[in-house]
Amino acid sequence: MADDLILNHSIRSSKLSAALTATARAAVLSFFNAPPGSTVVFTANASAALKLVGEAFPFTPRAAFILPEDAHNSVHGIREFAKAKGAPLVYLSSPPRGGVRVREAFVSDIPFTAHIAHLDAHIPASQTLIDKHAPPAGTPALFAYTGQSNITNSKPPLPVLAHASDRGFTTLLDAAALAPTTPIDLTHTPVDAVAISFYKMFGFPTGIGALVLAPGIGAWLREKRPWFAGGTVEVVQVPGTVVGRAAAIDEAFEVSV
Amino acid sequence: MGSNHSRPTAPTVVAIDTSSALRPRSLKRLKSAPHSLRPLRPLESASVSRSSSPSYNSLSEKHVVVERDPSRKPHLCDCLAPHDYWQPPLPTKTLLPVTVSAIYLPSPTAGLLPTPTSTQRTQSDAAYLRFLHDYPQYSSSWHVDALRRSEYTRLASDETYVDYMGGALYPASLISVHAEFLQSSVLGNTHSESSRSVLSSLGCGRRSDP
Repeated sequence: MADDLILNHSIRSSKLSAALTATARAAVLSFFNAPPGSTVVFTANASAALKLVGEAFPFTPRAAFILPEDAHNSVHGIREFAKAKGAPLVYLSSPPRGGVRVREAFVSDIPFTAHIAHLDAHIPASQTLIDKHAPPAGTPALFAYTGQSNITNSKPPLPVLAHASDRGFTTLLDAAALAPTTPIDLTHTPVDAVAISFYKMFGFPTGIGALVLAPGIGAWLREKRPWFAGGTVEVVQVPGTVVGRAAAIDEAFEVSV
Repeated sequence: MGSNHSRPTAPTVVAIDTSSALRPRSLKRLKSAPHSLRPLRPLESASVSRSSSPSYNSLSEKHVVVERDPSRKPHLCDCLAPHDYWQPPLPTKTLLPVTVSAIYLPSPTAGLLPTPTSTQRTQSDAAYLRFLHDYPQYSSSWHVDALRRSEYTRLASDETYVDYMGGALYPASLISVHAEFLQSSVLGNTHSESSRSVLSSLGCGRRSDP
């Protein structure tokens, strides 16, 4: 990153910070080959990045939240937001050694132990879980995916994300364990939101991750945020209900100061 | 505006010194074999000092210097190489102070073996080279060996860091570069100024800083 810094020597203090932050965002977008218009939101860690999506996502009872069994706890935790808004949970089942059985799945709002009995249930390719639970047109639905399991180390196929996107899902990729070991090309494999953790990639600094948002997703999700603080808003009516979110998408999601 | 640290005097230079020795090494650089990762000398010859040759091309550069030395007595070979451009050196001991028979290739042992300074080490090098000859697949990891030697010297030679959960060890240069940066920089809150205006001024090459 240092190689890419072209700093005017007169830039100091806050302007230096801003310039360096912009450079860091550009470096992240470049590293993951994100399509033009993508946004980097810096977070405390990958879990916080996942939570940003989970807490803001407009789950509805009319569309399922799909996620893999073999996923990080921080992905599983999003189901609490889905449940609160009445969205049914659908799990992608896992083979014995981990990963995702893409063609199989079952609707789940029942305890995990009950899932085991359904593991052998087979669904034809034309009726994959994703097709079966595709949301009605215009209805928001979330499809979460863990790129590399921290439990089994398996790497389920990423093209599943494109399939889910085709069927109307908003896609969320937990790449915390995937990014340190595998090149990720977001132009070749488009994902609406990707959560990463930097210390897992290169060890330092700890305490910082990012949410990489595809073009358009950030502006849409920004208006759904359940909360505001610090620099995430530009106008707040007091007393009242009017809140003007920060125009810059990254600022609308990053709580600082 | 508590984070505005500007002074009336000339602005402090805050720059990343890319020529510093603290600059992080990328794999790309390692492929070109930096000095510290120079392959081991051949076991039998080695008249080229490792510390005095800045690059692989130094061999040919030395020949040019020798050819052009005006104090040197004329030699038969001058007739064979009358022009300024470099010609392949002839195997004459008078002309060539260095042995050029050795072919320098990126060695898979660069990260594993210390510089051979004793007969004992040379013997262990030879043993390792024989091992690689018998098991050539072990040479494919020389990039990792080089990284370990340059960035992870804090790992003991008999220590292996195995990670399964996604927690990388930081390279030493990342820490030193960042420490240097923090000690020489004055960083303020980005919200003290409009970052958008800063970016636009950067992009247009205009300076809005007073």
